[in-house]
Amino acid sequence: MAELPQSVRARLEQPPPAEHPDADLLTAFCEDAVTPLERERLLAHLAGCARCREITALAMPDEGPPPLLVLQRKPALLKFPVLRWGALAAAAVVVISAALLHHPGTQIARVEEHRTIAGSAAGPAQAAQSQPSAVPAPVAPSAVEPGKAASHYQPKKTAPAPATYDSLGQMALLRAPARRLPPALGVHGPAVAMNQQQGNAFVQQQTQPLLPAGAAKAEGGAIVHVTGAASGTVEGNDQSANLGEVLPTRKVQDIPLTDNSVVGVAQTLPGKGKKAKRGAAPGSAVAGLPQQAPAWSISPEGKLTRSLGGAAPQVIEVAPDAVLHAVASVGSQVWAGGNGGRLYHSVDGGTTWNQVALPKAQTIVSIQFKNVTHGVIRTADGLRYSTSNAGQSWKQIK
Amino acid sequence: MADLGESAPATSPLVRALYLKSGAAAYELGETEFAQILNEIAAKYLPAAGAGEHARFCESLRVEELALARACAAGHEKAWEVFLTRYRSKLFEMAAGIARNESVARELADSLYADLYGTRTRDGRRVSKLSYYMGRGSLEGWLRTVLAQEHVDGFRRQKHLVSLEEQEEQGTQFASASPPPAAADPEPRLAAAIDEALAALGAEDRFVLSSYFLDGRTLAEIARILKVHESTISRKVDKITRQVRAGIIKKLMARGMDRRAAEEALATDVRDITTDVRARIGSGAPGGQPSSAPLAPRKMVQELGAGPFPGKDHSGT
Repeated sequence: MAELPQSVRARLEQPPPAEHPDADLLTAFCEDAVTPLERERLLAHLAGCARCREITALAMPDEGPPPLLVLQRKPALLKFPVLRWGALAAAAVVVISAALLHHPGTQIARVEEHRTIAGSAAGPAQAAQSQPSAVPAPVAPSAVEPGKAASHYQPKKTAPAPATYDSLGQMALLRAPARRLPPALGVHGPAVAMNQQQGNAFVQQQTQPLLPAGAAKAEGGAIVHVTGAASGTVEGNDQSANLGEVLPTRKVQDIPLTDNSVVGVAQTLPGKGKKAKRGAAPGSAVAGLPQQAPAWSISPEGKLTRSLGGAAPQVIEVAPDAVLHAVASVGSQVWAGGNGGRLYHSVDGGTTWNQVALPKAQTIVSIQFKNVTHGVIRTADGLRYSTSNAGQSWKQIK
Repeated sequence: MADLGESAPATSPLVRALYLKSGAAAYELGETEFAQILNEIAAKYLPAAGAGEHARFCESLRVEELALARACAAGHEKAWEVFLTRYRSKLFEMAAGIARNESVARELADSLYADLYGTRTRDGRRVSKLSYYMGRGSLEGWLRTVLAQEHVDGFRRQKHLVSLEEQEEQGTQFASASPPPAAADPEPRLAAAIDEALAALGAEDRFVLSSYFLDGRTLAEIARILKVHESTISRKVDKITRQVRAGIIKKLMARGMDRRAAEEALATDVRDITTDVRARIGSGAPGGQPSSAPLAPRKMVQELGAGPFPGKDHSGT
């Protein structure tokens, strides 16, 4: 970027003007609602007024998607350099592919060989079934489209495939959703897990909300815990050990449970472990996942909402006709106030609520508690009240 | 100027339509009063507009939010409930976005809320800041702008009140009584050439230069303000800078300098030296010998360019 000499910068800086545009005009400028003449005048003022430039920068509305950059160029594919280098690249790809396919030491050749041996051992029909591609055809669609996974892959649960085919299918199932599914999908969406006792893969439709992310419990009393470790090993499954080399970012751990019910499945992407762990609910059955404090807020309708670990906010019914404007929490103690001077207090994280009496029934607009006993509320008429005994008594402060 | 309230009576179709659209009746705001508000706003922003332009201007106003704000300013209880429900939590969120500090944000939001409610009285009536809202932009945007104004003005007021500890941290505790020497003014011919070259720029170009070189704003921030793509601003900064340099040299040559002298005059400002003096005198090297490390160019950021808000990135692109 070109530099501007300091002598020019110094002359560019001007003394602040005596008059400034009002907030309405600056807002209209930020929202692109000024006339061309007004815009020109505003820009002329902003060019010489550091204060208004700062205000404008701070008052810009939240950023939306960036404007599209329109480039008017000739189609790039028709240009000679592109054709030349494209042809060279295509030739190189063909040569490298041919070399890889015919090289006896490559993994692809090993997989094909492995598959051929297993196919011949299981019978000619099953060998023909595993022939068409490196990734089995029935597995890939279920992994790519999680919503359709259950219906497409259900037959595999009832009719187990041969051992070699199973190992490939399991790895494909474990691998594909990690790239395609968001980390929290295991909480609400369809889930994929391995049943080690039966030795085949199945798809499980998860319906329970707010299940812990990062863990899955499969049938037969085992949790399949998929993490983003870089060890490249698959524990407890000898048949897929070879393919573990191909998938260096997966790690599967077995965590035994006491009951046999299916709990859920969650997947953690490599490097996104924190995001996935936010799905953990309080009282999680899986140890090692941190419990986070709920985030309290007031909805635009004046209702209290609670959000657990980044999940969608859940409306908490404090009182049927309460319209709230402010909330504060200290640990499990929650305070919410709103219209008519109604102040509510919960000592159990929002499960039960008690209305607190205030000296004056004026709308509460702000609540601040620095600990469980000391807090300050502000009412619509600008008055402030403080308590030092967890809301049992309030006194007006100046 | 066309008058919607008097010459065009309250039954004017435009006023009637805007009145119905605004929902002002729900806040017990009469049609005549509403027309008067529209007239005041139009008189402020379009003092000499024709009837057509006047009508288009009124149609562009945010009449729903205007009615709500004026009803709140008049102390209408239902309007306040609507305002609180819609904007109370947003007010704090916006303050948090501006101040980037929870306690400062809460103080800022509460202070503005008090002003909006009207803690001062004039002629026995409460003066609410909401009565200054004109409906040119959204009410939420207006609140954000007012918060930004309060914050910037508050910071600028406090900027001169620096504690002794802060002075000590800045190394100014032993400052001499005499004021620091001001930067020498450039040669009169150079100063005139610079002024002419800058005056030849358009308002938007000068805004881009000031934002980028004086405020230290990033290309993305400037692009966001001007609603264009970041690369457009990047090209513009390059182009304007070259244009200004060329313009200055041309004007210096017109004043009797040859090209070489003009370029030297533009380049001989001591503030443009990019040598890292600390590295040069060898602060890390033993014996005060010059460091063998390559001299790192250091971008000189002016005091204003450093930005008044801590925690905000002003490091250029």
